[in-house]
Amino acid sequence: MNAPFRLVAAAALAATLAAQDGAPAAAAPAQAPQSGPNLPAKPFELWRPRRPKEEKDYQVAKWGPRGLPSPGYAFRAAKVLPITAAPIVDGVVLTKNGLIEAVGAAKDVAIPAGYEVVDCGDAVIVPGFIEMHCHIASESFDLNDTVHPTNPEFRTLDLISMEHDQIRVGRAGGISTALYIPGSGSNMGGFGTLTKTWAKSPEEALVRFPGSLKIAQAGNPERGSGDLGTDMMGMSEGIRMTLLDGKRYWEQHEAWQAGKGAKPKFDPTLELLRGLFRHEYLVSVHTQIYQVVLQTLQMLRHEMGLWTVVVHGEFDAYRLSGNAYESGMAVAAGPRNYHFDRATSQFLGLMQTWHDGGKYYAWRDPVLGLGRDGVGVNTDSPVVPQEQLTVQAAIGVRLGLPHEVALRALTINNARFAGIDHRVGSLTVGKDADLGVWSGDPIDPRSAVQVMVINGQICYRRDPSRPVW
Amino acid sequence: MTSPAAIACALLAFAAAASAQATAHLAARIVPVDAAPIDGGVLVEDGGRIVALGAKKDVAIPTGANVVDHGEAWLCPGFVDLHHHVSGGGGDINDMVLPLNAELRTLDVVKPSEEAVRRTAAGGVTTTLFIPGSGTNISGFGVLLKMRWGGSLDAMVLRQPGAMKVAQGFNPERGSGDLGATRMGSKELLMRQLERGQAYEAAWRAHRDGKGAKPRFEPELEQLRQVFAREVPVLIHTAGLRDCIATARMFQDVFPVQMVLSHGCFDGWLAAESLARRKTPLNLGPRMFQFDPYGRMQGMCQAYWDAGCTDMSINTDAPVVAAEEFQLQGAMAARLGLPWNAALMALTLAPARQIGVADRVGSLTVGKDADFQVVDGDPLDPRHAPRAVYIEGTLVHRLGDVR
Repeated sequence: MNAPFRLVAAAALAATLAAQDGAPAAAAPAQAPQSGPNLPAKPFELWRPRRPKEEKDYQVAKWGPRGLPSPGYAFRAAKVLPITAAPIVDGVVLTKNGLIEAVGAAKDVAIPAGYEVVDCGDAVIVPGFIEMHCHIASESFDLNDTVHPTNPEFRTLDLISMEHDQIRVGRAGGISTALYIPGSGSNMGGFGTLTKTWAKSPEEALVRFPGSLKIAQAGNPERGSGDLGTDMMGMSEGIRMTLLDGKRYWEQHEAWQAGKGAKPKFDPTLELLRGLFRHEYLVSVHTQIYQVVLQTLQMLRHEMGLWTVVVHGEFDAYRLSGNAYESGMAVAAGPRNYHFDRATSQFLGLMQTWHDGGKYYAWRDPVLGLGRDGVGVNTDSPVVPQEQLTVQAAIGVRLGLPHEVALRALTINNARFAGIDHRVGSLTVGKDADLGVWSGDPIDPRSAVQVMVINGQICYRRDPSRPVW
Repeated sequence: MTSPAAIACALLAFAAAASAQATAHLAARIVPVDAAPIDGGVLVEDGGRIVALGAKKDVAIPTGANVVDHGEAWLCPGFVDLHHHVSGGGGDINDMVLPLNAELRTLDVVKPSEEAVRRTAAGGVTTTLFIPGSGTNISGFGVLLKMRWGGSLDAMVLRQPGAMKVAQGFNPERGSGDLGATRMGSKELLMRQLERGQAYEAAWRAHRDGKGAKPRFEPELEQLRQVFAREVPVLIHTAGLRDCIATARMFQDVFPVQMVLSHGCFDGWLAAESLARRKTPLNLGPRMFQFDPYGRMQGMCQAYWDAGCTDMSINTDAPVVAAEEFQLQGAMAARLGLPWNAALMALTLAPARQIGVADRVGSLTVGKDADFQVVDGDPLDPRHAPRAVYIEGTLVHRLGDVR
């Protein structure tokens, strides 16, 4: 491929690249200065202490395949943004057999014989983006079986299909991994699946099942008159009782594995909850508004001890950003990306307020923000179309989020929240070869994906005469 | 040729299990399916079974045998359709009050005098699996029938139960407010019921082996017990990529039952590699193609075949496609890229093997039932209607009698 891509607003991009940081563990020089009095001194750390160290140590979750055959490619472009390392001018990314083999300056990376050189000209290469709240990895919705108030026995694993329009357009929008979760019709919609947005089959696309447990609080899951769960009290009771059953089941297993009791009888309803308490996966929570998110924090994170990620967090919930920071509860914000604060008649950026707390506007006591490592982004597609994940990030930047944090939100932050950052979320040797070749800065809504690569396979090329979007 | 009177006698008498004497059928070509075609062949039938088959020069015709010379025509096995709903006349096969109905069966619905049975036979289809509809996730048990119309039910039953019918996705999704309104809920219900059936079968087996108390008799699980004893296969109404994978996971990876995945339509062929890896038995149709996302017409059977799914049969889902157009389904598969041999196999021996009756039907083989059709040429050529159809040696259709 030799299309000479024009870099839009090259100077602006160069300026933002200058703010890129070094690897998180690296020492100070490349570290971006944290700005603002409410930003924490130490980076945000996700709380999930029991998480198994290696994929092989997982007992309940199943990991999808890695390293599937793919051709050797050398993608060369004017800019390569690895995200967890400094930007590279005139860079090369080598990929083969589904993995990234090398990332570096063109002058430093030797291209092995037999590798096809894909010259991307003035383009920008970034990691494939990660969607934390997706309902469209299947062609119809089919995601709300709402007879029971809580449904830990449901799963999206069997619904996945990747050749329908929405997911195709989504991957043409730069998204390579999605957390495909049930709807919010009941308090526990079931278990979601982490899947790539393209592969030869859904089984090859699998990243991890379960990806998360979907819990929904307030709003959508409120039940018809006469049912338990017509309000927050009843709904929280249902969530709590189901989780306590799962916790008991997990404790029985732990006791048995420690040689202190009989093997518990297999319970299909509770089995996946067991993995939740082992911190093999997260609970992704449909929660918004201050008092609802407060309940999320109290019940799910503190009382149940779950690895908790908020996957809405709208309205005035950002006022809990300090508590979320201290508790290690991350926020992948969206789809509504602003809050209109009636006290000050001002638009507040959702991602920006979570990022640097409540200091500026109506909240009287300034609170700590989550900082650049605690904020992610979602579309809740189809609420916002999947391909507009980058537009969500752009709105975040427009309303005050640092550009660098927006890029992290799309990539490494979402990957860490989902517990898949050892596979995806940055251009790093050994990670999955998921990358997007963009005509310019991906946060600029005028830019478009030219080539999309997932698991080392070119799965989309933009046809200028007939673009997908 | 036999006289018209002889044919009339045969038609009147076909309820009798076997003819009194051997009959030798001569034809220009015999296509046994499990062996190479025989030019200038003879098939000798006695007592409803094939007792000899080969070239005229190699087969001694028994003394006193009737000889029927079919002239330039070909003989090929009667077709086997594993997805057939019309042997009871059409409806009456979707009892949908409960989401799961492992206690239901079609046996009591069969109408031997049904016009549709006669038409099915006229299409060269001699064996069908008459199954309940897809209104619920387990809609009951089907019966394997010979299309010997007009006589007694006993003369038609090849095996009871023939198979359990399961339906995934689409049709069985339930009304708002019911559990099972979506795939997630219906899968959960189905898994629960299968787990109950598996435990019930294990309890009976343990009891029989002297290792446990006699289980309480549970009528709604009795038929499921046969499924888990691997005596009765499961035929699963499954279409689309998602449901194909879900079916393989459930009925191959989790529950060790004999299974056939039926339909596989729409974008189900995108799951073909996953199914090929599991050697999933496929029973494809009624829709034989899909416009793929790029607007190309994709032959369904060809897509599965090319991915390595070789255990493949074809269906009509009659009345969705008329039962007598079974041959046309095979022709469409071949038109859209399935090799001729595979298409013929998919109408005959493959379905017989999948459902476990290949010892009786599916090919012209010595020892098997003399179920065959007399065709003017290639049986996959839609211009050739069967001019005569025999079941267990008895003439059940002659061209011109219906249509």
